[in-house]
Amino acid sequence: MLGKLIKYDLKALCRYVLPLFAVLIGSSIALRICLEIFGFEGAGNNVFVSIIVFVVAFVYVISLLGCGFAVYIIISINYYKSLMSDRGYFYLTLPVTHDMHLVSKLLSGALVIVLAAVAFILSFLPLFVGNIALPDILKFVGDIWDLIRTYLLDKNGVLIIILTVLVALFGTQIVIYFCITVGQLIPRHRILGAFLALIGHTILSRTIAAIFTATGFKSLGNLYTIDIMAATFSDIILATISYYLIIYAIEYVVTRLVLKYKLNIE
Amino acid sequence: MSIIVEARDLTKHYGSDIAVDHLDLTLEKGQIIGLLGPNGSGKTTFIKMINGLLTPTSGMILINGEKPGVNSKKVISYLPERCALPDWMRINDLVKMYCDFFADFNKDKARTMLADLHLDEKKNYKTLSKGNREKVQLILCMAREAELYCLDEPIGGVDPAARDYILRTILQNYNEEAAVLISTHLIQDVESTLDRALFLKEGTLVLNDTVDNIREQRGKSVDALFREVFAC
Amino acid sequence: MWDFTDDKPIYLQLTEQMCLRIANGTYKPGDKFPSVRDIATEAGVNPNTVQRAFAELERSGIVCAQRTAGRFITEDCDMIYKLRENLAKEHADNYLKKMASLGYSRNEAADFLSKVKEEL
Repeated sequence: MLGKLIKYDLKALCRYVLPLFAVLIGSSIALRICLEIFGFEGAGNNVFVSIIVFVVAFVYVISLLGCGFAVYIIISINYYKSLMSDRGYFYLTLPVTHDMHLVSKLLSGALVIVLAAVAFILSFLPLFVGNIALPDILKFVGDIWDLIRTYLLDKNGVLIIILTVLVALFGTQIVIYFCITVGQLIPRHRILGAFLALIGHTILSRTIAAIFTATGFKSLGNLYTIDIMAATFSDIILATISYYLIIYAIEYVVTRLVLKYKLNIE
Repeated sequence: MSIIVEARDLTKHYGSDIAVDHLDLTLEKGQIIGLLGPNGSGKTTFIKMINGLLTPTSGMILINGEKPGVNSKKVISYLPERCALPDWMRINDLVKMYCDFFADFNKDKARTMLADLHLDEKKNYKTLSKGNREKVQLILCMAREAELYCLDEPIGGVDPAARDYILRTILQNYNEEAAVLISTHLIQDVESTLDRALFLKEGTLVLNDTVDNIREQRGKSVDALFREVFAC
Repeated sequence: MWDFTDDKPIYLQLTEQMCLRIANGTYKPGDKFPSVRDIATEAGVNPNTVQRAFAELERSGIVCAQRTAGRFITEDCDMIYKLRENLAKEHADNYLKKMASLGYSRNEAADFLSKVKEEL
């Protein structure tokens, strides 16, 4: 059942997300083609040409910047529409638990976010292929990896990476679903309610994380040397991420409870 | 006579607004029951509680002895008053989706009914007229071999010919192991198909009797009685 | 085909209309009786109501239920003839009552019928 839910959630998301990626990669290819045809200098000379190049570049940059943002908007709208609009009458009468609904949304959302990241990276290819050599790119990636490895990949490193991925993929979604679900508790002011929930979440989670981080620092006492700082730096990062994950877990539970007991589809 | 739905002192408040007020009733298998009452009388609220879309403020609603949940949703086929299906799919995609989620869905029956009503499966649900969309929703609902059918205003938005077809389908589908709950305003059209009539007034059950009894004891149709009870 | 009024239970009206069809030969003696489902869908009537009507017919003996084979109209032609007569008597009674309300006596009403039967 869960697999089927995910299938249909993905279908619903891809309807909007795939065209977005198509525009992203397509405009990147178009930009590259333009630059090839007219050359970097040619674009500056002819007004007509420079307008075309400008428009294409504009579309590309906007889709780059908006890509992540748009994906989250699509995910949010899908959540709201399938569980809280008229469609809720259908989805919530399917023989699945509320947990399955949430997990399906989270997994399908996570997949789409990953696809967005891939599309983001892929969109650079048309622009850089042939211009920048592959070895250069690999060296660049290798350098960053070394940095990460030195400072983060100590005993906690792998854990930090896993948790960061979890936060990126799922935590952000949970916050959105939490805000939307709690927001609809206020009849007729659902959007306002969602914003209030978001504000509440931000204040509360940042406050708690700050408290724990500060107490963490305090307990380190007078250790100022860089190495020891670095050694415990990852501890602090780990602690911070863990606290966020606890908050996300709480928000998941609250979301599920509100869905089950306090949902008011109109 | 096995009971499929039982409401015990069922109450639902929205703040100070009482939608359903201490409802006590049972629905039995093998019956077609009419849930009748004006707008705002609590019919849809009651049906939503049966389907687990709302939780009661107090009291209980039991389906086959259990609270609404995954098990009850497996055996209840719900037709809401509004168009609830994802409208970006084609009709045959919707059929496939029902097959995916409902073990008791009879694909062949659905296809036959769609053909009877001249609905092209390849068409996009969004492009259909409102009446046709309601017909599709109803067909998908009736093609399930459920233990309880909850139909909220099934004939309100369709033309008289389709109305006849729908009522005939409900009768043809009849089996002793299933109950059909029809919530409607169009009492005259459905009266002969009903076993039992429930009158709901401002959340309270004011009448729970068989259609035969009502006619025998009061010498008038359910429709006429309704007009009396709910006279404005 | 099936016409129901508001004031009487439907199962009674069904019983009457079925008797009518048996009396006028639409359903012939010995014929297999249509199923509950068929009548229910045809008449737009709840199957339990149809069941009740059938039970009435069985009780009166017009329809006999044979365990495995189903329901059949009785082959007792006398019974059917009597049924037809009874229905006809009801119509006659109705006619006489209505004529009485116009001021005709029973003899006058009978004569009137003979006179007028050619024209109608």
